[in-house]
Amino acid sequence: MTYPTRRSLLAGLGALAAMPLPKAFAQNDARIVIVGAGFGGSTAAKALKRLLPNASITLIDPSEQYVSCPFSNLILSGERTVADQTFSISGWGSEGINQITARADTVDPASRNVILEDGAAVPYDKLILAPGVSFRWDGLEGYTPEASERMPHAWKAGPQTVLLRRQLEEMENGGVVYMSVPAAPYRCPPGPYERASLIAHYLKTRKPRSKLIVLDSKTTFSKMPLFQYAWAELYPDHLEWISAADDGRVSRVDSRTMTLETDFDTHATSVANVIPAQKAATIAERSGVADQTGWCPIDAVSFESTLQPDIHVIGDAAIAAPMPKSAFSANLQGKICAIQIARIVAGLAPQPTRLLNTCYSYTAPGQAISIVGAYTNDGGIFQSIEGAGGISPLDAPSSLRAAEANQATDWFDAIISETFG
Amino acid sequence: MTPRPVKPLLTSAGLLVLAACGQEQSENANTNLVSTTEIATIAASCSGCHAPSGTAIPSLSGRSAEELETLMLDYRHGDGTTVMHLLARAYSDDQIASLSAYLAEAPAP
Repeated sequence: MTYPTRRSLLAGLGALAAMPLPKAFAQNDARIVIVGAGFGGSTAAKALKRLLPNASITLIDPSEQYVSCPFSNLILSGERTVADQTFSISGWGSEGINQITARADTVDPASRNVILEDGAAVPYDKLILAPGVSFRWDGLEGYTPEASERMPHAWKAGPQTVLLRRQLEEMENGGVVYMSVPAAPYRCPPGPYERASLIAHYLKTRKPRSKLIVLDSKTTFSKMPLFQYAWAELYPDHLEWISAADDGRVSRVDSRTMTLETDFDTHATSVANVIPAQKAATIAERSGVADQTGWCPIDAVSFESTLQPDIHVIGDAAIAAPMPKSAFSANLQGKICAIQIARIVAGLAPQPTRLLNTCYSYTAPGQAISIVGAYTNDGGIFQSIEGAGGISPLDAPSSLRAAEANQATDWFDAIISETFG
Repeated sequence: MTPRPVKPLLTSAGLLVLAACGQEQSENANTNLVSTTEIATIAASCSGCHAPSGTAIPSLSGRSAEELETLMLDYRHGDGTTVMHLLARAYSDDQIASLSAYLAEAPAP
């Protein structure tokens, strides 16, 4: 698969291509800093450069590459490689975006500076934080960064995903794979269940005496009827889901003995995929934009923090429910936040709108299901639009699942191209 | 460009599309921007899935406002269960008309 080489900033931002540029935008020389070059931050930086050509747009990220979590579960079933998931997030300097390859440590809201790991200060008039998630390493007894080298989380795509794939490949036929799913909210609500499907597919086709057991801290989950329908049909002997109501919540892990403990049981594992509970990335807490939940409350129209002025938060770190923590949401929030910031710095009030989320999940290679959400943000609060949205039909021929898998591929190409192209 | 006949409900969006095509901004640019911002932010969802290279998710490039509006209204009022049926129900007929006019004016990438 090839992706377009970097083109003009206009290209790929179809939504903004017909947006008129009032003089107040064109002449504005605000300093806008974006922290995090993922689906939200990269999209916001490019959109802002298009909307405010004379503004100073600075994008800060510690890496020069981004490894996409969407589609990374296909690495586990052997359909994709980590190279297929890796995209350049450097080289936008020629497009007029200042790029700083460094970790942003914290923000000083009083002086309006982002402080980098080396102590350097980057001043801003408006700041967008799109930092993603951190793991709650204090949230599950025994699960430490060291433990994750034996019991991978694979919830940030990259070496952890490769490690989990290698463990699955090296496991004997007959071994038992476990997955521990945390309480919500976490990045990508249906992600664990797509992963369960694809691991079960791998076991069914390559290790037929093996089985996957999913221990869940929840009693319901995204696209639940569709996943359970697919599991009953495709993986009756290779996948078992245990609800929190049936002692599914893991309360302690021991990476030395490779065991997972629930309230009443101890499970010996051959491979253990432990997805930890999550919160907004550390910089959010340090900057005073995260609340006691660990996530960042925002005004739903402008995405501005309700705790710190002039800091906008988009993507997984933000509290945007019922919008999910998905790549589609982050990418869309990047575009909309850019438009609202352009309005604000030009002296205009931000405007409410309607937002979507679309998400495809694989139930097997070449078979996918989907969910659609639609939202208003009037009054600064996200609300689902009654009568819109929903999930794929439950009882559908495999041709429909195949058609949705083709759509998933086109979706991935489109969002990657718009975000990183 | 030659302006097409525009339905009354499209007026404000239509004016802004003209502005986007290089015409002088009117004194009412900020007033017009209200509606354009709404449509631009609604349209921001489309490019999250639709790219020029798409096949299973078709490209929106080069389609007329009339074609886009007809398709969207069919999704909006049809009883199907595709992603497009489920999402089209989020919008009013007026929003669909303005959105279609807006997308039809987007320059090819």
